Amino acid sequence: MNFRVIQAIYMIALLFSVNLYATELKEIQLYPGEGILESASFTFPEPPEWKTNWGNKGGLEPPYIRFSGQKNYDSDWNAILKFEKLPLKLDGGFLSFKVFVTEQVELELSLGNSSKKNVSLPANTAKEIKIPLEDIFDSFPVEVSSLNLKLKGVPAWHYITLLVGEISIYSKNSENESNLEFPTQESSETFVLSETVFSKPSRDFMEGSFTLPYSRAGYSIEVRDSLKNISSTGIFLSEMENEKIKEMPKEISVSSFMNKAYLFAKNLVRDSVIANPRTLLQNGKLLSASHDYTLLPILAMDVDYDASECESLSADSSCAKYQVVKGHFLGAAPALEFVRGSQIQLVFDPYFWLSNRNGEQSFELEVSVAGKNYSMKGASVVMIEFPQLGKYEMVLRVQRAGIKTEWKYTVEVQ
Amino acid sequence: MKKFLAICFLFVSISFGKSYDINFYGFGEMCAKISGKDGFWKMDGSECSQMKSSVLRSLFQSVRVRVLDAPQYSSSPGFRLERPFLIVDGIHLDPENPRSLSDFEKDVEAYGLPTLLKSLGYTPMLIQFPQTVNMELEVNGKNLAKVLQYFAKAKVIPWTYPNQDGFVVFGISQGGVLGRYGSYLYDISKKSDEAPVCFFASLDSPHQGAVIPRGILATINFWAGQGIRAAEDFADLVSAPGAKELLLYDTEMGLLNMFGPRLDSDRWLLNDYRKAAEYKGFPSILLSEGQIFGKLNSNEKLYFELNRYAEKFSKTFGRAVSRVSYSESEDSEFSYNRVYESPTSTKETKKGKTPFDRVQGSVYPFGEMMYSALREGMLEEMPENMKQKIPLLGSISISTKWESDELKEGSSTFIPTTSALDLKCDGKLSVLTDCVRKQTESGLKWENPGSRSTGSSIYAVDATHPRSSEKMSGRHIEFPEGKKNVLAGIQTDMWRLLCELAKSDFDESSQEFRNSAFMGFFDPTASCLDQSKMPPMLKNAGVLNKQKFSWVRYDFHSQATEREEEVSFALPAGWQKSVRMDYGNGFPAGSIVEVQVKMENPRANWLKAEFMLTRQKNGGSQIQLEELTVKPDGSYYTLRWRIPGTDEALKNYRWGRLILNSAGGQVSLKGLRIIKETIVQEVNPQLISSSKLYPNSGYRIIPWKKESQLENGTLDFYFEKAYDGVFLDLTQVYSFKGYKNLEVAYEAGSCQDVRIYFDALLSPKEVLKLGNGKIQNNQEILELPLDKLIDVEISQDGGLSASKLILQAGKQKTSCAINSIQLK
Repeated sequence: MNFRVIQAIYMIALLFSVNLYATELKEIQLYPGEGILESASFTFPEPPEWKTNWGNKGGLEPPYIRFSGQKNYDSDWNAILKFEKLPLKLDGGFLSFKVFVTEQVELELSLGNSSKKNVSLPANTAKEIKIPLEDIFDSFPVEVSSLNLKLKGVPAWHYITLLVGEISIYSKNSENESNLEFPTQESSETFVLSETVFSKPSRDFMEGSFTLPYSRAGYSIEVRDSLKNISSTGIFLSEMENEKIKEMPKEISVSSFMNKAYLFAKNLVRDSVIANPRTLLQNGKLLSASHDYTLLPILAMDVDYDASECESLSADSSCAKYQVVKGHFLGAAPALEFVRGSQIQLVFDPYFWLSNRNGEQSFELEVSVAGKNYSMKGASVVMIEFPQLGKYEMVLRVQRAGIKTEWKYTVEVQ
Repeated sequence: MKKFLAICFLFVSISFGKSYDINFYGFGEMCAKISGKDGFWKMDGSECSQMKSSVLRSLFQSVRVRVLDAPQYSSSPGFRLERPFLIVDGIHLDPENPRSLSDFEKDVEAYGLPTLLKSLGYTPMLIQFPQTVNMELEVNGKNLAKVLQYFAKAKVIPWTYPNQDGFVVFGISQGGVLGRYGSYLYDISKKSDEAPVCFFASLDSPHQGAVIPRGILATINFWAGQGIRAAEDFADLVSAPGAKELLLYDTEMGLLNMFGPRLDSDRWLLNDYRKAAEYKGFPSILLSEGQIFGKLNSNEKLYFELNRYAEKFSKTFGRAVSRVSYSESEDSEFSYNRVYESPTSTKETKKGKTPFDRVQGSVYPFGEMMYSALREGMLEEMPENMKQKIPLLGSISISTKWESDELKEGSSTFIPTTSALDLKCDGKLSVLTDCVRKQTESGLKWENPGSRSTGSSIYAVDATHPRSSEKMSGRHIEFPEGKKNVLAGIQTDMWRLLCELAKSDFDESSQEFRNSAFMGFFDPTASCLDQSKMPPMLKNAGVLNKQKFSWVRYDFHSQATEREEEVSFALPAGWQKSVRMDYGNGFPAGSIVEVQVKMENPRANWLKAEFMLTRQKNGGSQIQLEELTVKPDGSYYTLRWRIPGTDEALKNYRWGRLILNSAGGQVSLKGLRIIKETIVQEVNPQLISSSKLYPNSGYRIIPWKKESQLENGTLDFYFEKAYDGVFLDLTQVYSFKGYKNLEVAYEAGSCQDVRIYFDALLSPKEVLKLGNGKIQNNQEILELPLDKLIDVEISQDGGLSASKLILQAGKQKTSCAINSIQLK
């Protein structure tokens, strides 16, 4: 039986197995995607170019990984490729990728510790390779950490270019074990979180430091007295202020968020209703600066308030009669819109929470940033890692007592 | 043509040291957290047991300190003090963004100070108060005194020669007031065997107060009262004790004063602080960034005017107006503010003189800041597409317009020149007299003002200062950012500061500098106003800006990031991508990437390094820079690559890759940074005319000490003491372009351990020495690489240029007979 017949039988078997899996396999695309080369075992003459675009090479679409070079002696050329989505725990399936090579060579390939498979590559023709995992692993589940390629017996003084792309694993079940490129690290310092009673207005701070007023535009004593019987929450907003709170966009800046939070500080009907949001913001910034902006506190507010609303108009379109309506605000914001460094600590501490709602139920926070989600159920600190410098959308989903709101900020990693 | 980049691809050995942070807590007995040392430590060396690692702990910091490029120490905490030069940070005026130690470090780097100080043998120490606004000046001053005491005890942080070294304290802006007060409190209470404050200097510090325009203060007060948050933030700033105590106008309206001058003698600045100002226990050098020609800053009367209104059914139902001006008479308006929301209207017109608004002195953009904040506030209250909700009718559109929107004069006087100079007129403080407005240079003795100032020497933007021809004084504590005039001003101020420091260091009795690093560069008899005496190292100060990368990963040490000062890993054999870094934007063309590399236990005697620029994180379209060779001998070597091309061509190349190629070994990396040119200096030293430096009748031979024995003007000398020296004065800065080495021939057996270098002392570990040369015709011949004799970080053009060749005895009783010195 010649090689072509063997290959045809193999391809039929492969197609059969692919069809068998077709309805239940999930594609995990390894490339295009982030990845690295394991340097220690790399024996190609030149380092690869990770994202090459030389156009469509006989059916191989760019981008692809390019290996080129020549050596002055006959040898095998080895490369172990690790991808961001590896390692994976697999229960079966198949590996699929395309290759293009400028000279006819023998390719030996394997996945992690699997047995090896040899494929003959014709010159200047793209070849799609599909290997059932059952062919290279004896039992499942298996953990796959790399794609290993070897060009066998490359002759001396032959300049060869190998292009590899469209690499995927089709799997029955898969579980991403870890993030290879950016493993989350433990904080260099383990913090003890504070035991602040967030529903009380007082906060510990530096002795002798100037105390920020809640507002210089607060109600006069007389107005406060008259509003005390009307407002059970201790905060009373005008109709226009209530509109600002209600129409607050969910995609906002920290400054806009604080402009709204300030409305609660400005419209207090009595003392000791909530902690001063201006103090919390200032202290959040100070805390961040004292750590060279590698620490980012998150402020959270859960506030009940009263507001006036026009019930009926007079003839000249001014309001003839007002009514009191109830309002509620639940929100969260980072203390700053920038951080410095690739790893930062997100601090969710009751010191930075405020509420006039009954109950000691904790705040919960979900943070989505840089493609990852972090769950902070109650007071906690998490380390966030950014894959590069630049601006990121930071989504904060804050929850308390069954109510959940979502806020979007832009945070710059400088 | 940029000249400074002649250093590209050089292989030099300039040490880039480690920094240590020391955070102080508490007001009574201070506890310090020192990086590199576990626990919290009291001054007496015992542990503070009550401190814990609370996430909020740093809200209780009283002072924070960063020791830059600290001298290493073999045991805990890993560093020691040596000639501490304390730089005290100023007030943080931006209510939105507080300052961090790294912000401060970046600023002093912009002045080129750390490099200068290290080359002069000092240890730069940054002092920052976390609360410059919210804390009383007196409290922060007292805390500084405690910090000095903490260091002087030397129980926790070793200090070999505290009495001999003393403290040098240099305060910037408000830091000058805090530094002066703290130094005074420490110095009068210290024990006789504790380190003295040996020198104090301030840069543009408000010793007699500072100014925010009267109309701005009235406007802040009005709008804060209307519930505009931005105005509330400004009100917090000006009414908090750290700022209020410095301001010459009252920050509160009061019953009669209406934000007028507050010059009563019971305020701290004009009372208790005067004791510190009058103290003569150490020299005080006071530098002002203001002009002193007796003329006012600017002629514009109006700062800004904003007037926005909202119309409903063609009828105005809302309006906000703010107008702030300078006023010369009691009847003229200095501020007008109005808010109208149908049917109620509140307005406030303030009239009276604004006597300090435009006095000569450095300026700050208070008008612009207020204008921007109010404009934003008015737009928020009356946005472009305003709607009003009407019961049963839904929403109706409201028309909004600007009637006035004009910023006329964004900047105004902040630090009066005479305040920064702490000048007196007829025995009174200048701010209490017309001097603050009319003082000229006439009659002022800058280097010895006598009773005219509390400073031992004072300097301002006088006729000899490079910024004297500008229309008005420049901005208070401004950074060059491409402005040559600003850089020239900074260099002049730094020259005056260091010239005075050198003078105070000079021991009249022994006729020598106590700090030998001054020798050869500073002349104790020269006038500090004479800029022709400025050493070359100062002419390069601030030109180069060094930055660490904010995002770094190591391929063979997955846990290490940019936070680690030093990273070690086992490097496999072969061509290995070893470090990846993100600059954020395209690498600036002409900048330099620098890293220090060390290889131990090499499997073969070779190591090569390359640097690549890429557009994508994982490579592609790379630009590969030159391959450099490193000796894998266990020593650190500094590698530098110049980034080629133009900014436009490199705009997408934000990723850098360090590649190491070897047979394998243990590698350590540190000091990864980028060095940018902040300004194009037209520095082009003349090419040296002859390769023969000695003998050469065109150059002078000058011993550091008169008693050093020299044979008839030759380089045949004998030094009794170690570290005595002699220099060959080339009379001007020459470029050695085209030369690589310096060949020195000397009598066989002489000159052993004699240090040799051009212009500035390299670190003791790096400096080259004579001795063990090749014997030829009864003389020893040594060929030394020029790039190891010249510190290109501080050379005038950043390249191989110098003005003096220094020979310094490495041990006592040294004789040395030089036969020839030649460039090769």
